[in-house]
Amino acid sequence: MQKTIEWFYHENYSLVYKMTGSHKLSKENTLDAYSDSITAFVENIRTLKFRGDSKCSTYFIRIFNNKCVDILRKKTTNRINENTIFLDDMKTEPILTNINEDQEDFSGFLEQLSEVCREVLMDWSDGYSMDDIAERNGLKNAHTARSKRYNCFQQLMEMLQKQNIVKPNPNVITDGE
Amino acid sequence: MENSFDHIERYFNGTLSLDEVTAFEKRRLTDKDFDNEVNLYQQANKVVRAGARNRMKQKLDEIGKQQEAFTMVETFVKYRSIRKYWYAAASILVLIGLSYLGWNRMVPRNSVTTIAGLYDRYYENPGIDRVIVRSSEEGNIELNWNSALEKYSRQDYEGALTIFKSLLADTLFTYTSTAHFYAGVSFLNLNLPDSAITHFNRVSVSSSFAQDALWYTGLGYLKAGNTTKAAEIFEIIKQSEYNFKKKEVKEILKSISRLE
Repeated sequence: MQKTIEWFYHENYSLVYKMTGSHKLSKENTLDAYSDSITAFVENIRTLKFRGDSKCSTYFIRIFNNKCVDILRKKTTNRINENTIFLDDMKTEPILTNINEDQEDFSGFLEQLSEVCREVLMDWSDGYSMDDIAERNGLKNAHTARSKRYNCFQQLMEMLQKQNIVKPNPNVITDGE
Repeated sequence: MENSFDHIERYFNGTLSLDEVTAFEKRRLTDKDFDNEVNLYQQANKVVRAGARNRMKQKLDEIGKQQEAFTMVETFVKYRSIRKYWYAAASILVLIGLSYLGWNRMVPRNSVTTIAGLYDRYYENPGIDRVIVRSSEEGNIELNWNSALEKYSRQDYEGALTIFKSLLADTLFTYTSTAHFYAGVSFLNLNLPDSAITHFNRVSVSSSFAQDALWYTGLGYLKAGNTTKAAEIFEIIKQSEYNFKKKEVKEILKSISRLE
């Protein structure tokens, strides 16, 4: 999986030059957009958001182009904001914007787990087989990897429960509560 | 708990049967703890997924940095090799240029190292085939004329000159331009260029020997070592509308400028 993504990265690297030229972005920004695009592309394939209506390459270029446009927009907005002082900003503390659920910062929860736990869970999420997970993380065998993954996942769920961030389902029928 | 976990996982993986799915969803609506567990599973999954995405992004950024470094090195190497080739090409061009200049200086085309050499290259003894040989029955002048030409053709220039002079002194002699021309050539062959030039100057401009006389005058000055006068004469030939020695004159002028 990782090898395939690396291959894909190198194979389409020339697009970085094209986008840098066409959007007049810095190389650094384009590279950032490029790795973001590959991550999003892989994610969309995994979650079946990519239905195969267009060619893979076309689909990827569209994602990459959109990412570059996003950066451009952000830059333009920053430039406007740099020169503008809003009254609200002067009166109050900066208000946290509503973060999209997909973009929530969950890194804190994972950081609380051990390194092996983190890696096992992320490997599983990336679609590695239990044998591969065992090999990658120095575990005895697939069975150990499966147990490890279960325990780590339970730890994470407990953490989330303690933090009480899971919203209750409003459709659940309760006994008069 | 493990069974329940496995059940939830199978639900999200889509490996439950239709009946099991219906039962699962029904249970979610009635069992608050179970629903909470399902929500926790979903949330935990999101956390892991986000972590995996971040990990992938970091790895890709690292690859990007490596690729950038590689590209920079590659560009540098390419630039260096191109520059190396440019230097080689420039060196070859400079060498060719210098060799050409050196060769031209050392071995110039049609190179003649001395004035005498230049004279020898271009001097040709004119024949007598253009001269009308008169019948000996016509008189004394014709006899002498024929005798002078005969001596000239036998390269007895002194003998020929004696007769040419006596003929030129005779007022009845009519081929004066021709006699002056051959007398001049005879003087050239006797290494007396100044006398030769005097005779060539006396050849009439309307004579058929006028062009030849001018050419040999130039050669006469060359033999006398007077390249300036020789060049002046050759320049006149070069500027003239038509002259049978125009091509030679261009070459000889170049050679004279090199000798100077």
